[in-house]
Amino acid sequence: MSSKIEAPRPRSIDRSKLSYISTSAPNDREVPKPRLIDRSAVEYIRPVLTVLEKNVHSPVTPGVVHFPQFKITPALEKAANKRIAQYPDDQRRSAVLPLLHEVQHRHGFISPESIEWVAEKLGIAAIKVVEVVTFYPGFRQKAPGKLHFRVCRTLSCAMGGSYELMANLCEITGIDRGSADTHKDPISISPCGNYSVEYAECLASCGTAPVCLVNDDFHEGVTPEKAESLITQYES
Amino acid sequence: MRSLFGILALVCSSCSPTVFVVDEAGRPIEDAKVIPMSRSFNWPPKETDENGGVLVHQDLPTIDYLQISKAGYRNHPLVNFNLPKPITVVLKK
Amino acid sequence: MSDITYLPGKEPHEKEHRLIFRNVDRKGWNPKIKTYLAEGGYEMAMKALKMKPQEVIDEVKASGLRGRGGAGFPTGIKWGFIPPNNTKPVYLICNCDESEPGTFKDRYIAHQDPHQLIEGMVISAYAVGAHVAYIYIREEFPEAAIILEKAIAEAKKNGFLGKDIQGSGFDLEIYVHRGAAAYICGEETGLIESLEGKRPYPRIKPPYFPAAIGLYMAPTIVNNVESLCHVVHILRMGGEEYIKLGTPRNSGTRMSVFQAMFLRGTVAVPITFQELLYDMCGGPKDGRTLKAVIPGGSSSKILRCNETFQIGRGDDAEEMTFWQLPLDFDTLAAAGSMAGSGGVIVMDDTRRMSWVLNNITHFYAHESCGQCTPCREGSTWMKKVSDRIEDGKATPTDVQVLEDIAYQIDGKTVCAFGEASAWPVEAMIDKFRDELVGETSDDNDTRSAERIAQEQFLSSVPQ
Repeated sequence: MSSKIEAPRPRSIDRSKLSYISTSAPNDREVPKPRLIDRSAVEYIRPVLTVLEKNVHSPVTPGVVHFPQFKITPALEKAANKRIAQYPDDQRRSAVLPLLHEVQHRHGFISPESIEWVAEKLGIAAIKVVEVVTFYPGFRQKAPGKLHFRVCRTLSCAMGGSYELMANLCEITGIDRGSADTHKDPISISPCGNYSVEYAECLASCGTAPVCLVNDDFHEGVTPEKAESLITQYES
Repeated sequence: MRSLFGILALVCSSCSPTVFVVDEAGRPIEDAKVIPMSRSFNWPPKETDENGGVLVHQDLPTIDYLQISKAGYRNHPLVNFNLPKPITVVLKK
Repeated sequence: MSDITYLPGKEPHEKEHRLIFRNVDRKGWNPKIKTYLAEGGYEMAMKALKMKPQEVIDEVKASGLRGRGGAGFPTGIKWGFIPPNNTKPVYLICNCDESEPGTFKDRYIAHQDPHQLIEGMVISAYAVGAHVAYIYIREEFPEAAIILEKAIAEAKKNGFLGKDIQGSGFDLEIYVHRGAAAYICGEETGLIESLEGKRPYPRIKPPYFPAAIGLYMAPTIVNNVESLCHVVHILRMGGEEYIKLGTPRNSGTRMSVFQAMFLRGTVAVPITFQELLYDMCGGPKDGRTLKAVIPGGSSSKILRCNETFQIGRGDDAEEMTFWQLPLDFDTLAAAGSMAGSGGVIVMDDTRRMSWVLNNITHFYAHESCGQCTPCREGSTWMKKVSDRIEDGKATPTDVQVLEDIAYQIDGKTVCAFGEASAWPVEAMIDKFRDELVGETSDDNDTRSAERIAQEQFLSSVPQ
């Protein structure tokens, strides 16, 4: 038996056949045409999520009852126009952060509809707004609670006891932070929807640690024992 | 009278060592360094007596782990302090 | 200055020389323009508008003012970088995105003395020829944004902003732009990208030096809040006089905000660590000793309190213990750390170093913008490894792995964030290696949780 093995020779390819193959395929198979999505229909049935909706789709949380649904109001338009006027005419895109802040301040979080509104308002593609919303930790894509606690977890506050403060807050409000993740899902909401907690990265008041933000109010020197009084001062 | 015995028992139990450090043959290790720890704190280190025992109180902030080491032995993984006392730790060469 | 009284409990230390912080925590002080004007406010802006812009720049150059944001770049020289044949509009941006852990100086100015900042911005904008200025303020200061907007409206009403300021023919508009909780926006090119409405990915330098190609591709000057406030005082005192306030090459006062678990306050340097920690702040509580100090925000390298340093070169070199080190840019750089943004964090001997390390790596893993691979992946790996060390599940090689990752990030990224995330880890391992290794064990499981679950499953399946 011969032990000689012949190396396989490279086959020459008939180029004309190649093009034949690639062009012949569509004849026997129907190529699906790109569908245009009717936006009015999306609102009611949501058949297939668009890329935009998939990425910014906000899960309904118990906190949603505390915030009005997104609606374009004259007040919002006026505030938006004032913000846009701050930037040069050819640089309207700069106003994306201020506009999103306006929306979040009024409606609690950034919904897909509000992203479309911002994009339309600034004359840019919606994806450019989405990339901003998904980048910044300051923008929420799901409704927080009526009282949103942002506890600083960075070194100075942590040495002052902010982990314990967070544990106390969770215990009092009945929040389960088991599934929380600093990147993907930073906000945990209580089942009643009144409270939500989140860790913030350095609130820049390290001298009065531990500190926390409740909605837009800043509280300093909130030692873990003060967690209860912090909550009760808002209940009235 | 019964309460007195109770207190006595409590005092006695609180005085006896809560952690014993032994080698693989079961012999007690003297002068092993025991550092009680919480997540963010180190307590001052303690050393075992001739019976290999050391008394570690539960303190505030709570003690979660013990780091036990002795020159000539391999580092032991952090010991969970919430185990039933007394805890016996085996150091390997 | 003796007529100023401060709120009870907030009095400055006798060694403290308050310049920028003069009105902070002052009795009867409020952020209204009336109060500020009564104290001679906006006089320096008027003085500057009568000077030539170049004269203002020269005055600031003569003062040797160094940027207070962290890098310590001389402010006057930065202003001189605007191309002379420039035809585009010039922008001035005030960087109030103070996010460095351990730093909290800008907060006080923005909340309590906004007009000082606005006056500084008027002078600086006039010097660099900017007619539009932005204050980039971080999202976590919602109250400060409102205070600043109110102050701007007040200044406009009194004719210190807007068209033709006080008949000088100089126009200036200041706008407040709120960020959205991203640490990377403190980096000046990242800040510019964010102001343009994009993700704040820092730009590569060169060619994107903001002074030449910045906001909207036009020359832009980005200055820290504190630097802009110093400009007011430089004009008041004159550059020559101002330089006498500090040590050579580190002129002026400097706020060093100071925090530890048991001591807190704000002070002004130059002083040594001994004076700062023991004389001014009262030393540690309960007879504890100090273990380590982070001298300039969490990105600066940690210093051990029982170290000695060789400061100076050649024959001038002198040996200094940690306690003799003065807190200025150059000495701290020579000691292998940096003065950064001046936030001093102090740890006493009970502090567990692996926990501190883990806290810092979590911060950087969260705040990495994700533009450069070494930093994006490396910061997450460092977080995972330090998680293991803190949980006591690490092996001694993990400490080496962590150090290797840190050196792989260092110097391989577009902006300084890479260094900022790697330096604290490198220094921490360098100075506390024994303590970190002591918490690891060869007996620990090196398998991942997934691997263990897989093996358990496979062993439960009958062969």
